[in-house]
Parts: sequence; C-alpha cells; structure tokens
Amino acid sequence: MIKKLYIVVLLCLCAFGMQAREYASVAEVPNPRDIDAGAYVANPDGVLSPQCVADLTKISQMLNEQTGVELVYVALESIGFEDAFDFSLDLFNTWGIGDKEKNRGVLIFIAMEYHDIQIRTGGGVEGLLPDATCSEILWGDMVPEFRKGDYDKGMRDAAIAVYEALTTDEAQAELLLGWKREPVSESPYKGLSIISLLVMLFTLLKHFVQPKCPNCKKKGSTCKNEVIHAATYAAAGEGIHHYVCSHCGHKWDKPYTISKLTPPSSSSSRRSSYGGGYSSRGGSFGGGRSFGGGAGGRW
Amino acid sequence: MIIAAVAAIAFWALGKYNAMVTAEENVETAWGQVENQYQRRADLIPNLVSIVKQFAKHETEVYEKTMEARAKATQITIDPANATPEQLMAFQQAQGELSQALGRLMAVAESYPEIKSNENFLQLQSQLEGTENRIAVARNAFNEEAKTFNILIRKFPNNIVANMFGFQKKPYFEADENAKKAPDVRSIFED
Repeated sequence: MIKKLYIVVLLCLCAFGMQAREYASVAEVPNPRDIDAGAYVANPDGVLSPQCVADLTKISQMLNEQTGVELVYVALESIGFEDAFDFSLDLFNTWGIGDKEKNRGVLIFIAMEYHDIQIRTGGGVEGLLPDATCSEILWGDMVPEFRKGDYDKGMRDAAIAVYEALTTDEAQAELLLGWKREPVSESPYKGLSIISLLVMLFTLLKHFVQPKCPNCKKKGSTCKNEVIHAATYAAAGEGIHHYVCSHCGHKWDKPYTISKLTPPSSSSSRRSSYGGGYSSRGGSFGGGRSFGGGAGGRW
Repeated sequence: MIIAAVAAIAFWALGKYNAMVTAEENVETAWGQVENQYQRRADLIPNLVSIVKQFAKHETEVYEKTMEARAKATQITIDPANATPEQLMAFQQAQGELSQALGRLMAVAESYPEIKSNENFLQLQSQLEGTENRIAVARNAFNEEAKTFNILIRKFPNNIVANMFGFQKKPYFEADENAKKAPDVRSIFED
C-alpha cells in the first residue's frame, strides 16, 4: 500500500516536473521574492549557472543601493506559444517590478525554446534607458554571446550595460530625485512625529553624553562637525568633532563615523510588498509598472 | 420618513455619480496615453522617411503615401467623453492606413543593405518598434478602462443615475482588420 502511494506521489512529481518546464502563464513562474527578499533572479530551470545568478544578484543589489532601480532577470525554458512581449509585460506588471511611485524597474527576460529575449523598462527609466539603448544591449551584448551558447556571459554583459547606463552622474541624479519626495507622500505625520521625538531625545541625550573637557574636567562645550567623506547609499562616511570647552577654552578633536544612508524607497517598497495592493497578486517587488518600453528580439 | 428615504436615495445617487465621474476620468487619461503614443509614432516618421530617402531616391511614391497617411492620421482627434463608435473607427482606420504605409516604407528599407546598417536608421527602427508596443499596451489599457466604465453605467440601478446625468457608453478599439483576417494564400500564386 505504502509502496503504491509512493509511486503515485513520484508520478505526480514527475508530471509536475515536466509541466514546470513550460510556463503557460505568468502565474506559473515562481517569484524569487517568495523565497528570498533580496533576490533578483528567477532561474527555475537552471538555464543560468549559480555563479552567474550570484553575479547578477550582486549587480542588481549595487544598482538598487545607488539608484533605487530594481533590475530583475527571468530565464525560462519555454513559454509555449505565448507571445514573449506580452508575457514579459504581464510578468513585469504582475510582480510589480520597480517602485510604485516612479516605476523604476527593468526586466531582462529570456525563454530558451524559441530563443526569445525581451528587455522591459518601467515608466520611470524609459528616459534613461530608451528603446534604442535597450535594442543596442540586446543585439550588441546579448545576441552574439547567446548564439555562441554562452548565456551566462550574455546576461552578465547586459546587466553591466544596464548598470552603467543608469549609474552615470546625470542618470543617478535623475533617479534619486524621486527619493526625497517619497517619505512625505507616504505619511507626513508619522514621519514628523518620529523625527521630532528623535530630535528631542537626541538633545536630551546630548547633554548627558556631552564629553568632559580633558583640561578642566567640566561638562559644557561647543562642538562643530567637519565632514571628511559624506555618507552615501553604499558606504558610511567620516567626520571630525571640533570641541571648544566653554569653561577654559581648551580645544580638542574627536573623529566619528556617519552611518550609511538608508534609501526611503527600498524600505517603503518592502513594506508595500507585504501590505500593499500588489501583494495580493503575488508581487513582492515594489509595485512598479511598465507601459511596454524596451526592446525584443530573437537570437 | 419620506424625507429620510429621499435623502438616502440622493446620497446613494451622489456616490454613484462621483464613481462615474472618476471612471470617466480614467477613460480620458487612458485615451490621453493612446493619443500620446500615436503622436510619438507620427513624430518619428519624418526622420525615418528622410533617412530612407537618402539611400533609395526612386521610391517617391512610398514617401508621398507615407506622409499623406501621416497627415491624415494626425488630423483626426477625438474627445473621449463624447466619442461615438464611428469616430473611434475612423481614428483607428486612419492610424491603420498609416501603419500600412509604414510597413511599405520599412519593406523598402529592408531591401537596401546600406539602410539596414545605418546607425540612425537602426535607432529609429527600434524606437518605432517600441512605440508600436506602447500603442498596443495603451490601447488595451483604454479598452479596460472603457469596459470598467461601461459596466458601471449599464448595471441596474446605476443606469438610472447615468441616464440622468447623460453618461454614455464608451466605444472600444476593435482588433485590427488586417490582423484578424487570415492572408489569402491563393492570391499570392495568381497572376
């Protein structure tokens, strides 16, 4: 009896395994965010090597830290007779790639059976990654490598090209422009009260933590901060406190670190991934949309 | 009692009216996107024509037809709030003729290797493809918004409110005639 059941289960698994190779609809594609909140690659059929997946994830993480853009890759064995453009667009909007406010998302999609490549851009990156650029990446970086059978290199080159196009100084300035507005639009009161509370606490704390003058051992000094390296979204900064004792006039310096900036969009997008309107549709990215931008082709 | 009932109905009607206004606004926004994308395509055409012209000087008829179709297509504008199905059909037909003219233009370009390897042409071609994609997406989005609106105003008892305030059913984009028709294989082998 148990043996029979075992066989049935095995058969079911086999059937499931065979089916999983062809994705007839977007809902069947496993969303990488269901497993790992920091994932950017959906590679359910093992089209790409683990090393390549790690590289692509790294590139996307760096891009997200610096610009807030979500660059996602999907490599599938087959989508049957589905149209690759429609499929990639549907996937983009169902998962909600990119943030909800500015739609800063990019999807690089490949389906092996009919040699389809689609690059989809969200509404917020269309200007920086116009169709012509996507087309250049597709035909210049991906297709030649894919024709040689080196999918890993083609994907990596494409990811790097997207990364480079979106991290020039001008591109970053344009992409980051949106970040300052977001926390305000979310909930002005919540942010305000927390900030004012923190400021109050900080001033209180400052009094107690105020350093003693090394000369006269009394508390009470004025402090000026000098920033040596400003903090960025990627790294912490450094600065120096210049103290002047208000009792004896003694001056002394003390170095300090400035903590790394946390992009408000990534926190808000993560929040919306669990509580937002898109989560019900299985999307665990930021909730961004594409209006059909990008390029498509076959290798 | 009667006053309370009338007030309740008035409140309900007010809510429905507002919902219809919002839905109609969405239809208009979606239409704006459709028009934007068609305009974008129209803006690309003069550049495309001038590049192809540089290399293929003798295909004057194709250029004239394309520019003519472009002029005709850009003349038709529609107010989505009061558009009739016939008006939308006329709009779609004019754009469809432009698509056909563009198809011929691209076919000419295809037969000249110098054009096909021209950097500017390749850029314009990818932009044109992208724009065609966006047109399709925008048209679908418009149809969806129009459907939402139509369902809202035609359901009972909403239709009473809709009639009172003169909300009208919105037309849809039909699938393109050419795309629907299977090609006539026989005609290819005749003559």
